[in-house]
Order: sequence, then structure tokens, then C-alpha cells
Amino acid sequence: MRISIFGILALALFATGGVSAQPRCEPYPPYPTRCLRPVADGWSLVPGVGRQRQDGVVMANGLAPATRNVRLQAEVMGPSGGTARGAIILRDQGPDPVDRLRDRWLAYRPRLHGSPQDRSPEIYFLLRGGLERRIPLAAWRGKRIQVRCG
Amino acid sequence: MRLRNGDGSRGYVSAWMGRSNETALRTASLLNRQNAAGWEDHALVLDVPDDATELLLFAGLTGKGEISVDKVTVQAAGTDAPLTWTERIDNTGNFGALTRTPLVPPSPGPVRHDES
Repeated sequence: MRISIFGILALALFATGGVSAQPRCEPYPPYPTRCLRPVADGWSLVPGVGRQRQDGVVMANGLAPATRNVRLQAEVMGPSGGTARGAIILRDQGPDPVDRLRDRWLAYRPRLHGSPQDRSPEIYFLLRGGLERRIPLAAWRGKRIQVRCG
Repeated sequence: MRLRNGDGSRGYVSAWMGRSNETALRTASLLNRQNAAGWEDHALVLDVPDDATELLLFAGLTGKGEISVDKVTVQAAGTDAPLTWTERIDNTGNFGALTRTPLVPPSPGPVRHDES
């Protein structure tokens, strides 16, 4: 089975209800509840993609600048694929679409880890948007495994 | 896993291992090369804790574009297989390094800039 997503476009559709499948909300230890949308072959679409513009404003779902004084969980990836962690507080000024975004983030309740020193224009903030698949591990406890293509 | 990029984007894959004590182990992200045209293979090698519950395998994108994910399997790995870098995440959401093992990354490989 091969599945694809179309980046921010797909996630923007998701954010506005353009995908028909019903989301499944669930606990997500150690984080709060989140909502996933099943797509195919055990994979689910995870909401939320953010990107930092050259002026330092974080974009999310391609809709609007983030306008909140909250911490969001994110992964920061540099142009070399480097990752960093730390804390960034998103700040704001925002037009209307932000309200919709804020609602989604409240439902997802992520927190941000990012490096304040690492705000190059090419750094992207990935709010764990994308595809996810669950694989039970009970049969593999205590063993070394390799997760790969079959 | 096999990932394929779209124009101007890079696919990546990472995983979380959930544990019954509500902590998790998060792996480093393995990325496709920038503007790579074809499929790129990635493999995560992990020691599964005795209290592991499930693996959350995650595929995403940097930037706009398309990502395709091909068939995924789990199989036993030899004890000499190099482990993928992981870190522990506690129940407050804080990150704490548990093991730091060199990756065998796609080329060019990921570089970590940790701020501990």
C-alpha cells in the first residue's frame, strides 16, 4: 500500500473540513488529547504544520501568522536536517483566520520546543503534521527491532 | 520505510515508543535528501523496553510539497545493529536524553543541535 499526502494543502483542507473521514480523538501520553483522521492502511493524518517565515513569524497550516502567547510542541529542522529544542513563545497580531487556527491548536494542545538561536529563514517548525501509523510492540518487548520497508 | 519527496520539500520519518508508565522514547528524524527525485530508504533500529506499548511511526514534510510512504514492516535486528538516536520524554512533556547513539543517516545526514 502506498499513500501520499500533499503537504500544507492537504493539511489546510483538513483544517477546514475538506477531508470527509471522521477524526478519532484519543489520549496521547505524555501529551494531552489529540485528534487524528484515518486515511488508509492504518495510517492517520495528523493535524498541524507550521513554518517560520523570514521575519520570524510562524505560519501554520498555511492560513495565517500564529497569534498566541502559548507554547507549542514542535520540532525544529534546519536546512541540513538539524534539529534543535528549547522553547519559543509564539506571539501575535493576527487577523481572523487565526481564530480558527487557535481553535484547532486548543484541540491539539501542542507545546513548542524550538531553538531561539536557530531562527534562520530555512528553519521549519513542524507541529507534528503529517501521517502516522500505530504498531503494537507487545510482541517485541526486550528485543532489538528494525523498522523498515518489507 | 521508503519516502519520496515532492518539489521543494523533504520527507522525514521518526517514531515514538510509548511506555506503560506514560513516558515515551522519541527517535531522531531521518530525512530524505533535498530535491531527491526517487524513493529513499530509511530504517529505525530500536531496543524495545519491557514496558513498551506501541510504536507511533510518523512521516512528515519540511515545507510545502508531497510525500509518499511505502510499505512498512518491523523485524528483529541483530544485537550489533547500530541503534537510532532516541531521547526520553517524560509525562510533563520535557525532553531528556536517554541514549545518544550515532545515526546511520541518509546522505547528507541529520545534524543535531541540542540545547541541554
